[in-house]
Amino acid sequence: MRAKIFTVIFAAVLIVCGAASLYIMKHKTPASIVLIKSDGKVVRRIDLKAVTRPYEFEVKAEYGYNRIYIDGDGIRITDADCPDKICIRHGVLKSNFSPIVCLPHKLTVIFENADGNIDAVTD
Amino acid sequence: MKTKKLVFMAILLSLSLAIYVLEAQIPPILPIPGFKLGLANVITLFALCTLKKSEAFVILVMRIILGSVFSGGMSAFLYSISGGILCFMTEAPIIVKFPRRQLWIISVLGAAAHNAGQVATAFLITKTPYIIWYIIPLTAVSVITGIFVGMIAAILLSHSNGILKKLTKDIDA
Repeated sequence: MRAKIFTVIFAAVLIVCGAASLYIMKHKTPASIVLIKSDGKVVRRIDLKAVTRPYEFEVKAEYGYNRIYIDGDGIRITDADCPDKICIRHGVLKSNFSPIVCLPHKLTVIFENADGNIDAVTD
Repeated sequence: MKTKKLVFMAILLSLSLAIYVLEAQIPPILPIPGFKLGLANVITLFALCTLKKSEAFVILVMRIILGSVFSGGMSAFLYSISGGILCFMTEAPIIVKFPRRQLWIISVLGAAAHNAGQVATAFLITKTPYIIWYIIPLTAVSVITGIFVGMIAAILLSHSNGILKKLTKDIDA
C-alpha cells in the first residue's frame, strides 16, 4: 500500500519536474548584458550587443581556468581544466533559468537583470 | 570495538571509496551541474541496514573526505559533504520503518535531499541565486537514479545475507 503511494508520488514528481525542465531548457532571457562571476564576485560585465567580432579570454580561479568565447550567437565556455566539462557541454547561455555553471571552479555566467538589481539580491 | 567489526567497516569504506572515485571518472550523461548517479549511496544504505547509524555515518563522512583527496578537491568536498549529510539525515531516521524490498523509496528521498543540499551549497558558494533552478531537472533525474541505486542496495543485501549471518554474532558483540 505504502509502496503504491510512493510510486504515485514519485511518478508525479518525475512528470512535473521533467516537463518543467523541458520548459526551462527552452526558455530564453531577453537580455544582452552578461555577468561572469568567479567565487561569488562579478569579474566581468559584457554587453553582447556591443560585440562586433568574436573574441575569447580566460578566467582563472584558485582551482583552474575557464576559456570563455563570445560571438554573435552569444557567450559560451570553450575550454576548462575541470574534471566534468559540464560548463563546455552547456553551450551558449540562453536563460537565467539555466545559467552556465562550473561547480569545481565556482564560476557562473548569467544575464544581468534589466533593472540591474542582481547585486541587491546577492550582496 | 571488535576487530571483525572494524574490518567490516573498513571494507565498506574502501568499497564505497572505490565506487565514488570510479564514478567521478565517468563523463556525466546529462550536462546538468551536480548530476551524478550516486552509486556510493548503495554502500551508505547497506551500512545503515547492517550497522549502527553512527557507524554508517562515519563510513559516509570518511568516504567523502578520502574521495575528495583522491579525485575532487576542496570545492567537490563542500558539495559532497553538504549533500551527503542531508541525504544521511533523511535516510537514517526512516530506514527502519520500511522493509528492505522498499529500499528504493528511501534511496529516492535520500537522492532528492542530496540534491537540495548540493544546490544550496552551490548557491552559497557562487552567490548566484539562479542556480536554484537546477533543482528541478536534478529532482526529476534523482527519482530515476534513486530507484536504481535503491534496487542495487536491496539486491546487495539479499545476496550477502549468508555472510552477514556469520558475521552478526561477532559484529553485534
